[in-house]
Amino acid sequence: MATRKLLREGQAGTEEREDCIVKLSPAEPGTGIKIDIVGKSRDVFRDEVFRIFEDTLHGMGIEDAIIWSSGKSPLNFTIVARTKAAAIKGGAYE
Amino acid sequence: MKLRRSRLYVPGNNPKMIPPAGLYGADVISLDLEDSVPLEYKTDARMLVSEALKVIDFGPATEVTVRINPMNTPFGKWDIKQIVSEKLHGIYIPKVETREDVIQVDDIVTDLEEKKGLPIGKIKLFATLETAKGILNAYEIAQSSKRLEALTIGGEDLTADLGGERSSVGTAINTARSLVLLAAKAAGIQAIDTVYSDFGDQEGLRKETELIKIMGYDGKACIHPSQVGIIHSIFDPTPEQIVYAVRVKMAIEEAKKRGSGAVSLGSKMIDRPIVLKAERVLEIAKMADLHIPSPEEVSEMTQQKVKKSGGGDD
Repeated sequence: MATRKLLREGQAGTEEREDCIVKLSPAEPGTGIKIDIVGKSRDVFRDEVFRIFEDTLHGMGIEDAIIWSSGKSPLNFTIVARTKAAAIKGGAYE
Repeated sequence: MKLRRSRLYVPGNNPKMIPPAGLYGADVISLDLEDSVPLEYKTDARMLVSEALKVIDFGPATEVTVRINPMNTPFGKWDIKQIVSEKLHGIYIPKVETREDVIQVDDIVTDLEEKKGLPIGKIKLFATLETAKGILNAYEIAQSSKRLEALTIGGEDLTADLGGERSSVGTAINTARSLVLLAAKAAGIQAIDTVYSDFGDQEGLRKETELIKIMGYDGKACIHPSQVGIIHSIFDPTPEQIVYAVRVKMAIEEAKKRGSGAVSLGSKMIDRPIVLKAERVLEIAKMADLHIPSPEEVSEMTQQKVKKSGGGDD
């Protein structure tokens, strides 16, 4: 798996119901993935949502990133999709 | 032949609308990456549809397709690369104007099927003609690829290209409808009509669907789940049509037993077009899971009808 870096901030998703906004920012190498969640998901599904973010970014070869997310009860596939889209917009494949 | 009476558009960037899309009974769903998605959300929608195709079960009877962006935009190729996968049944290509537009998509899909270990030819293509140029090249386009299953017509864009207006009877696009239908049928593929965009006007939808069904179209696109049932009710054969088709088949069998070349049903001669229509009625009824009475049931119905009328049949 090739290692990839975010080149800039990337954001995906909307504020609609069952959607989430995922904002990714570049982080210093070796600092890992830092996650800040706003909304209902934060308390109820914190561990699961954290795992989805980490698995998705690691699956793309991204080891360092700062994630900010706000959601209105998104399903897992939506979180994965928004994270991938934010990473692409953040230059991970450039 | 595959049943494609209704084709429901689902906005590709709406995570709330995608999971239940298979529940409305549409024969085909089209997850849309084109007109329903603003420019700044093209990547979001592409990834959302891609992930949905991996995990959402749209039901065994639903043909799952994606409408990509036109190939002359920066998005079309990326859409294809991201969506080609095991659960995708077909791709709708918008704004097709030449056979090369289809061949280009076919080549990319073939390459991706090879790379992803999918059966070559599994993913079907559908060409939407929505410009005057596309309509005039319809037959050439219809023969452009073995993957091509249908021509569809895009009424709104076509009307804009023609400088006309959509109306409840579709006058401005009826010539185009005829050309697309002729081209598709001459090439041995299906023809699927455009949307009726006022989903509050059920009577208008009904009239337009009746018109295109009489013309020979195989189905119609829709933008709202409430339109699916109306479209099916018009494309589905009536119980009377099904019974008549069974009687035609029975008459043919009976003539074969007698060794007679001439087939009649009562006093009416049954010729080849009637047989073909009967076969089509029964094929659609079977695919739509409608009740097809057995020859015994039909005989019983006929006898009862004779008793009630107190006279002979036909």
